[in-house]
Amino acid sequence: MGALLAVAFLGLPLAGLLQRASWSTLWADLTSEQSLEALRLSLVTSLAAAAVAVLLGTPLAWILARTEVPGRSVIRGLVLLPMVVPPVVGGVALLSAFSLRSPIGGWLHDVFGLQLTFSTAGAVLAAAFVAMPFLVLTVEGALRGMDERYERVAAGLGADRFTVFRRVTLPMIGPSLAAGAVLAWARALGEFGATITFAGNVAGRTRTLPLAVYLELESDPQAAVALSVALLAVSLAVLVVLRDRWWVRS
Amino acid sequence: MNLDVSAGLQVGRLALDVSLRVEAGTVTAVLGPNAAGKTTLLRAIAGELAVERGWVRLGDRVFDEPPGTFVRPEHRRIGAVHQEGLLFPHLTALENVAFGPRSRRVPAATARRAAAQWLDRVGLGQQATSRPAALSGGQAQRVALARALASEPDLLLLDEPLSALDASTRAEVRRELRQHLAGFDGPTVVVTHDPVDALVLADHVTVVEAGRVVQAGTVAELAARPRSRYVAELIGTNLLEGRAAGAELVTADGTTVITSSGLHGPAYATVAPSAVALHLAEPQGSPRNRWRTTVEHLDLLGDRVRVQLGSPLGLVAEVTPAAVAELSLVEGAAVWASVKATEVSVYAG
Repeated sequence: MGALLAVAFLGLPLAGLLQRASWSTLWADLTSEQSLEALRLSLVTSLAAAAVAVLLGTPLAWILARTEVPGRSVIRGLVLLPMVVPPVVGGVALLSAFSLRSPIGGWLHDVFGLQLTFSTAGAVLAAAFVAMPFLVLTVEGALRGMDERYERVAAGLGADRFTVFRRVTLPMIGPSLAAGAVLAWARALGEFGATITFAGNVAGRTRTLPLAVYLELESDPQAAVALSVALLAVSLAVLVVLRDRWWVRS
Repeated sequence: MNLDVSAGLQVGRLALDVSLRVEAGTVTAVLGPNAAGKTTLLRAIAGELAVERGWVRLGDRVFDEPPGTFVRPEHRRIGAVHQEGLLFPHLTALENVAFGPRSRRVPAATARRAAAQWLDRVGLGQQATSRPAALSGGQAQRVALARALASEPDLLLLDEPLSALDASTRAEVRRELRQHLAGFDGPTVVVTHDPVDALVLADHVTVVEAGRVVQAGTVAELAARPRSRYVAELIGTNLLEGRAAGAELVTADGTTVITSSGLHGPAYATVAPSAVALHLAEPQGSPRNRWRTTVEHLDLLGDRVRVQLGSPLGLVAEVTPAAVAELSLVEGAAVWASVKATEVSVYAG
């Protein structure tokens, strides 16, 4: 009975969303100027955030899995923090670190003319902040699961550490790296709290799909539902792509 | 370029303390039971582990000599073949073999040409584009050997290279391996627990037990004068250990064995299983040694039966199946064992 309730609890909101969607105007709602703009911005920021997560997160995962660097448990805690901290708190934290009035933010602005708050770069930063843990955890798990003897064999054949990583480690953990990247991307795509807190809600610059949904809910509920359906479709696609890693495995 | 190793290190509960010298162009087998420290020794030579005391030297190069010197594995130019092959699963056979040269900055095309030649040499030119998953165990080990040799190593390390193969493939690969090793002009160390590998592949044998060398020498020396129960079992003979006083050898458990030797002091003796005769009643006449004992265990070995006897001495006798029937030998049966004094071969311990 409890299980049935749980299934209903999980399924009913989905059914409600699909039932409320106005299918005849869906395409028009999705291709309106505001929607397209939010869609484009979401794609750009989420892909950029996933790229940042891959570029910075993969070396970090390697350090965590393969070395005895001091303070490893502290680093792992830092990696996990964005997963459990409320995104809005993450946004406030980013704001205190990178706003124009903070030392780093001020320095970035004075030296490079770079302003993160209320800019697309800021939206990318916020999304990368919440998305990175998914990549690091997935890749670290893959590195731990990998047979290290292949890396030793490669070193024995004369490969330096970077060559070992590039020609042996990376290809062997490739599927997990891809899965981690997809997860990080999906998380970045749905990011709301940290983005609106840190980067604001500026049309064309930081108003990504979730922010647009939130805004349209007041002015144009039909468009909000249409955008929600689009996001739902993306999430389902991610689940299908990664199905072998979770649900069908047993 | 000779290999000179004196490796002292502790790994978990194993305290390894082994010295090993291998001359260029020769093959030394490191023989020993499981967990004796053979693979640990190889890993210390390869640079995957650092020695805590001693040194690893190859020619005039010092790879490892604490406290100051440690050369990382990728700079040692050592070719290694592992038990499971450990071919990179995502690369073709050709790319696996070309991996060593390419890691040493040989241009890709040159490296692939050399790799193709090595694959031809191990008889797998046709499999160049196969992935390891598509290769048989024997083929994979041949590719692993080609990969090791293609990196133009100064030293070859083979870690149980044949033990993952089935019996018929093993004999075949062993024969080929012998040819390839003959063509290699650096020192070779092959770790194995199979005495046949040592016999076929090696010039010298170092026997390691519980982290220490118990015996080293040529295969013939080892076979003639084993100095541990492990080696005696490998070559299939009975080993007695004790003190010799002229024609008597008193073993640790106090049993006196009459021999034809004149040796004094600590000594070993071997008795071939075929020289141990079994009787239902106490034998009369010439045999100088006779003991009442029990049958512990029977093993059919080809057309002979190996009979493990109980105390004293725990000898193994080898008899014909007909004799087993005639003497009604079953596990637990009481028998008399006899050995002629001239069949006991004594040497100093």
